Amino acid sequence: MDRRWLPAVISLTAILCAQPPEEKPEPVLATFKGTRLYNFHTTETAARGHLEFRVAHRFGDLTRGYATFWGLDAGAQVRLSLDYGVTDYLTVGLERSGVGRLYDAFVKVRLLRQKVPRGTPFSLTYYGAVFYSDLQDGARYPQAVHRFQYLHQLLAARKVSSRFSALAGIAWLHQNYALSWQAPNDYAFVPVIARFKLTKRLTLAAETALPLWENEPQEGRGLPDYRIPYAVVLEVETGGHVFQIGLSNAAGIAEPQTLLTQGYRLSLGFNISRIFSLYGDPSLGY
Amino acid sequence: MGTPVWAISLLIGGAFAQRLVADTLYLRFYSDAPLEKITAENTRGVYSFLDLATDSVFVRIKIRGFSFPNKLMEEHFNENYLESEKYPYAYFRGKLVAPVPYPTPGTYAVSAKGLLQIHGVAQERVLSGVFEIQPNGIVLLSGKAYVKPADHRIAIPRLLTQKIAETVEVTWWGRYKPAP
Repeated sequence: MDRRWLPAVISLTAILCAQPPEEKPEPVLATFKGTRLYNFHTTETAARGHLEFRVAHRFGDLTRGYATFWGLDAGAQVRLSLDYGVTDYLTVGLERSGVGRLYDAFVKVRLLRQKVPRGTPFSLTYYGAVFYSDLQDGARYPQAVHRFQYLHQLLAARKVSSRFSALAGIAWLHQNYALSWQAPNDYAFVPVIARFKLTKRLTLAAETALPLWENEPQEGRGLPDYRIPYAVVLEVETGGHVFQIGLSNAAGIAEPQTLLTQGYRLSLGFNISRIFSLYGDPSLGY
Repeated sequence: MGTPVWAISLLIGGAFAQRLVADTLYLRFYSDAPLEKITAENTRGVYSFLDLATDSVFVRIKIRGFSFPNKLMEEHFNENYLESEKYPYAYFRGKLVAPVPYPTPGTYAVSAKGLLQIHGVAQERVLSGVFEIQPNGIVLLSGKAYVKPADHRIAIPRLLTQKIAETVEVTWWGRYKPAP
């Protein structure tokens, strides 16, 4: 090489070395709009110091048409939920469902967070809940211990593109008191969720839970007329609130009821959630 | 023949020697709308340098670096307004309108003219600030600018105009050190 150009090369190298620092991967934002889709949980959790209040309504069977005004006359089943983000990785929650007077407490732990533009390829969240039925029917539950049910889920999700996200997981439900003498105490499912953002503030999504347990009602084992639950949801975001309007064949409102749907129905329902930041929230005026 | 090459190289090398790189930079965003006052801070995502030989200014702001007290707002800021997955950075590339007498200590009013690029849309702007040269060669730079989201194709739904200001105030404070 011609020695005369050496100093220029040195200067040029020095300039190239002074480029901006390499970009650090960040946790992906908003794989789903909320901590639940319609009936089932997503991998999302509440942020640290944030409180999420959620009201869910499920109307009656709409297949009876005008006779019940597509299920709206039947009166709504209500579920109230309160989630609190202890840290960005740990959420605790309390819920009360009108159907079966069911109370539940749950934890959600983020085990992995998908990173962009590179890094961890998916998010992983553990969900664990204890359900307690306060049903005032002594004949239904012979002992207090029979009122408890447990649900564990391991959920994996990926925001595939800015519009499309998908979730798959594994769920295990244990009922201390089986639904009938021929029903099992343990059930396993594969929850599946997919969502597509139509616009920035409007999302179309669907959810289901595929059974891994064997149902043989004709042989006297399992649940007669068991149906795979599904829901189609339209999510509308209006600043501080998320509205979710859904159409579902699921029975009841809490997970142990929706996962074990029996019989045919189709009903409308909606969820409204509101998130409050406990550390200085301008929308609350402090 | 040999002399101009050396001269150019020395010039480039000299220019490099007079490059000041920010080791601390703080940026604050403030939106004052009738219903809501929103503040966000960015302390971990700003990269900037000043090249005093060419009078050029470069600032790169990581949009994900903005931290809001309400994380839902932070999510909306990234997802619905700034679209940080598509446009992860905002930039300012400009030139000082008048050179600064570095390294003579003192406080000077400075302005820089250049392109402010936010949300992928560049606008020509003149940004002003205060330039304080300390005896040890460290420079403190502070300033304030007003940015209209509409100028950068950031659409605010009419429903939310009471909550998000038409003009957003951006304040910054930085400490620059001579690059080694």
